[in-house]
Amino acid sequence: MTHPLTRVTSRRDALRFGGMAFSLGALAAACGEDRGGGDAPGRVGNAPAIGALPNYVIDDAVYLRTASSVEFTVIDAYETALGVANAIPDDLVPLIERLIEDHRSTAETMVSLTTSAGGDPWTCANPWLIDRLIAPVFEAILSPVVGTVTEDTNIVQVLGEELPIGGIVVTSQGELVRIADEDDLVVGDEIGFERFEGSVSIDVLGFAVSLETLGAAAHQELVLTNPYKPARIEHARAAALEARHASELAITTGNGDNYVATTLLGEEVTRDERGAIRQFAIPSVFATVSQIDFIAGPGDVNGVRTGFALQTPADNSLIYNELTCDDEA
Amino acid sequence: MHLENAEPEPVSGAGAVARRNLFVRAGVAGIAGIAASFVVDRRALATPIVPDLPASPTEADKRLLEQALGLELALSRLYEAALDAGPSDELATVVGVVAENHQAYAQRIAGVTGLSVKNADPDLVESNRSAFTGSETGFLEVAHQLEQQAVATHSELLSDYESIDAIKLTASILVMEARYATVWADFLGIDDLDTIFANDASALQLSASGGA
Repeated sequence: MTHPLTRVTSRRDALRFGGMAFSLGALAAACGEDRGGGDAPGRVGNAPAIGALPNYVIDDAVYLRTASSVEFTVIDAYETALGVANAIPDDLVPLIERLIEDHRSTAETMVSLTTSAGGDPWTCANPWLIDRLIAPVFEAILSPVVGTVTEDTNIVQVLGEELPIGGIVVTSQGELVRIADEDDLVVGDEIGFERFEGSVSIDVLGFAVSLETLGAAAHQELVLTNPYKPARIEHARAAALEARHASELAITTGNGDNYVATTLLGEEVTRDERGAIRQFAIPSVFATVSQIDFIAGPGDVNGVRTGFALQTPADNSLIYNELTCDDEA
Repeated sequence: MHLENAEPEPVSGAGAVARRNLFVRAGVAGIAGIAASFVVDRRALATPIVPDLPASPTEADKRLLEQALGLELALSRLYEAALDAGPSDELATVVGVVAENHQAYAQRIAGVTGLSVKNADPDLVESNRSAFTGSETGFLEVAHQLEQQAVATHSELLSDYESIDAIKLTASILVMEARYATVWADFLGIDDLDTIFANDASALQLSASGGA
């Protein structure tokens, strides 16, 4: 048998090789040193041309406006929670109302300081935090548990388990109540279930602890970064107050063993029986301004719950002096 | 498959897996309404302000931080004495952690100032030792009060600090001491929200060199 590389080249081969050489040659020419043209990356598609972004200054008024926005954000979150059925147990409503009152007072202080610093006060929630944190967390918390019908249409995969479909499905974590009674199920159909009893409340109160910790961290950071010296002590007071809020909530919503973080006792980070990150009255040695991780909502078909990261305000969530608060409520 | 879609379009026939949502997912209309009410243009390149302060404690800062060091060491010693008095198991766990944390604060202050960790404020220790080693209720009441006073003391010192290190460290300490006060209030069974959340305590009068 003649090896392909040694046989006589046919006209068809010549055309094919020539075409390949032409293509490679064109490629080499395009990538060669003498190709000319600009060095900017090429653009494809129909995206609009990028214009120069405005340069916004961060001054003491921006920090104070951001601080008041955080307070109003937390107030909005609490008021939303109070409007959700079974989210706040009756015996905790007075506590939540007190927290709202404290946040209003701190917001008023930040508003007053903004005026003193020569800025325009910001008197509503932080749109970035509402859009990227509050709304998604509440959506997750209020979502049903979703299972999918398997190839055996009498079985549903839910929270990582495959179980017989019924009006009540018994999982290893508890009983799930089916939302609707669907017929003619086929593989891949989604079935909705109510969340476990008390889950919405547990998530909402856990979110409250995280929000208070976020507020404390935001003010703690502003103690240093806000150049307006009269604000320094007020930020410290707000940080201390919101840390108290977080600790009190952690104690009140815990099982009597939420005083000290397990990591301070030489143990590992612990989760509760449904995979949520446990929260403590004393979470660390020094108060930190680092990211706060929070898990909310039901698990997916594999039992994985959604994680959220709470971070102190930075570039995208600062309330610049050029921004306006258009509250249509 | 359209380039804009991440998922392939469903096909009909025996191989089709059409996922049907057979229930209604409830939205959170209230939050969506809030999000929709803003008029915001967030496109910006931010120019942050860097605090125009010295990084390390100045000589004036060090004089004040020496007092703070004496305070933290005194609190640590007092909690250690309380631990030696044999509190109940649950309380002992918390007391032990708080004692260690106050020691850590003293050590961190020493670290940023170059001071030594040896001079606990003697007046503070002597005037509170008996309460810390007496009844649990007596200990908790005085511990709660001292943590409140520590927060007030650090808050007052904050307005005088000149350096980044002094300000950052003090903020990270006083926030934790507010948490300790909340914990002690819970152990005392206090449910009055004004007592839990307010702080009417005055700053402590500390000695300059950790000694009389």
